[in-house]
Amino acid sequence: MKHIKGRARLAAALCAGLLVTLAGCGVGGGGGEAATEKTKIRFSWWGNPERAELTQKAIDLFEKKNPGIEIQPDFAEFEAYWQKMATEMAGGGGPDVLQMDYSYLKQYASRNLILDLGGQASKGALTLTGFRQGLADTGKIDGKQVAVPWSGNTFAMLYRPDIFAEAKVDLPKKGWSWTEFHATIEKLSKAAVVKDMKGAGDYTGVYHLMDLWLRQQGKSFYTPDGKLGFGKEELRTWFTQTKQFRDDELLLSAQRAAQLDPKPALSADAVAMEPNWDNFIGRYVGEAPDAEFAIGPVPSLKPDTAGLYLKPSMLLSVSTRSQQPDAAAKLVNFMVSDPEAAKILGTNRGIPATEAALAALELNDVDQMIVDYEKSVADLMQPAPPPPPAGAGTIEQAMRDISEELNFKRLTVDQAVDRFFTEAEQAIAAGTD
Amino acid sequence: MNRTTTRGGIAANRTAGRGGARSIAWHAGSLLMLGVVLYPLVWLVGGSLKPSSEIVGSTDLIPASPVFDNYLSAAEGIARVPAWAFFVNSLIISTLTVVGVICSCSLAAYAFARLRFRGRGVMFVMMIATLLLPFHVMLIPQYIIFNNLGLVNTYVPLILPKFLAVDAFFVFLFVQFMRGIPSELDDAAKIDGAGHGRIFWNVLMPLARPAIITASIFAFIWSWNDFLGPLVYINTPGNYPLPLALRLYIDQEANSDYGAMIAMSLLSLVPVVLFFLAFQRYLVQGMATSGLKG
Repeated sequence: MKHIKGRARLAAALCAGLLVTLAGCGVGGGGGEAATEKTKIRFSWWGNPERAELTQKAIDLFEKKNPGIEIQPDFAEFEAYWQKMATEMAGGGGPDVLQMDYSYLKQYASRNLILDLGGQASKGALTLTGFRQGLADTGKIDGKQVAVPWSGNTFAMLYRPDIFAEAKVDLPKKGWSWTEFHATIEKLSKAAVVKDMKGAGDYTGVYHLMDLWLRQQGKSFYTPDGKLGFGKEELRTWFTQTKQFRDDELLLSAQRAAQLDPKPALSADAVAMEPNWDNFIGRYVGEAPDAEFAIGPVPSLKPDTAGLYLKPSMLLSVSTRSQQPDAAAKLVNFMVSDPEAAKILGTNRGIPATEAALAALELNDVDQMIVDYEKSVADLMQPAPPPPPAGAGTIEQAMRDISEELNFKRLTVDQAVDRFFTEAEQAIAAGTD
Repeated sequence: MNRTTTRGGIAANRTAGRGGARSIAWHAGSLLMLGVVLYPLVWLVGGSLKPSSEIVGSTDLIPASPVFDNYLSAAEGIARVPAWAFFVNSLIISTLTVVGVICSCSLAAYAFARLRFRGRGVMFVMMIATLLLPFHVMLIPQYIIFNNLGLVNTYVPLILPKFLAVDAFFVFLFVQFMRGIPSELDDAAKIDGAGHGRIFWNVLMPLARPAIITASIFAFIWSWNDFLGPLVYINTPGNYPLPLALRLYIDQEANSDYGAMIAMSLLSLVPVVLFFLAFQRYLVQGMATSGLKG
């Protein structure tokens, strides 16, 4: 009996002991913080391990230059990052400095989660000049500087010059028209240099390309107050543009694209052209080292208006909850404009947003290609459109899905147009992604 | 006599022959099913031995020339955190989770199964009702609590709830099991002078071993695979458990290192499989005994 009693006590003690240890874990974490008197800044971004390594090096340099500040980095993959950010922000926590995406900017600003950095700039913790063409104002919402652009990219036609040469088709050139673009698709698909290779995918699912097409007509995808900037008639024209190609099977089929996923069609020898952001070329070159890639301009309705603009591909914001907004702004400034930081970070996040950072870079062949392209279309660049409304992510996805349904011939053009407007209006009304 | 034996022998042979054919068909069918079930795993092993560029796109199951680069790059870890650290982190969380679940849920279950107190029925229903709440609904309120307590970026938010019996599923599992244990045993212990603590510890817990094993396995596997909890609460890469680390290999903008991710995910399966192998015979036993109760 005594023996049993002893065991019961032991078990109880064990359970209790574990609880205490557990509590100890928590206290231990806090204890370390109290020991040092450094300003702590939590900095979150999304990206892969390679980006983490480069960013950590830049952080090390920042800490060396600012001995009073300690950076606590944390990172996740894009989707997970926003999931985490949404929970933290809603729960009253979150990082001091966060990497921001243009499509989330309006939502975070309207919920008053990100700080107007104008105050920090006037204190001298942050400079807001020296940005590349048109990028300076992209971090502003209603006149408040809620984000600072970190890198900028523009839309382009990525293509395979080796395939073009073999098929004896003219390369995309500045000022080429949509008619020429369509003729090029047809020629490339019929030549089928590599088995089953098409000229392009069904580009009507690419929301950014439709935006450019609308901009070429003096319209835009979203109005400044966050409504759709076009009607059913425009969308019908857009979807009808590729109808003949879909019927003649001259475009990459949705089935094939789904089979290839997550590998992109351009680097998988499935298409010879793809309208996309120019920085994607880096990924394709990495994935298909034996293929040749080049960047050309997008087709336009009138040769002198391509609708192109520099889009901030990443921005940095400071949380309104940050206890140390000045130190946070200092970090933002360092990451965006410091030439030494730029050298470390390279073009991992895209072509730097400031002239000073770009000048400091040693560009590799791929980066040079992107910079050359952006220079070649500099005279076509227009100011960037205002940040898209909350819900834009859902709409972008809807566009892709509906175009895919068209490709599968599950929808007619009229049905597709109706469905898009229903879904888009819902997404805008809901105002969340 | 002789004849009958022969005839009997032939008949036996015939049945054996028919039985043999049936047995072959049965085995072939089973093997086919096994092939279907195991295909993803074989693909995973094959994929982990392919060069990163071949993984997506190449349809060969077995790589032409197996390479071990993926394992090497996986072992390097991510952003200055060695790969083994993710395993250790996951092990700490999962082990403490198992201990917490077993300690707290069995105690809560004892109360529901054996004690008579006011509001027991209502409380039991409320506890079961929490099973219907999706985790996402509680995520933000829970985050607010732990954020106010200053416990974010520690393992406490992931482990403390397990010590407070919030996993209604496990409480329910224990309750059902304990209800199946005859209360005469309690009475006998009571006559011998045992109180609740003694009855719980010396009578019910030893008999509930199958339930303990079952709960341990599930608690271990679920916490090992949990992604959302650690994602929200852990901010230091050095403290990331495996599921978080695995997601870091994927990137939409730059090259995704599928090879390292597959190699790492294969390695991350090993502890779960080992844990399962060690306990699975108890698991089967547990199901058999609880199944008998009807």
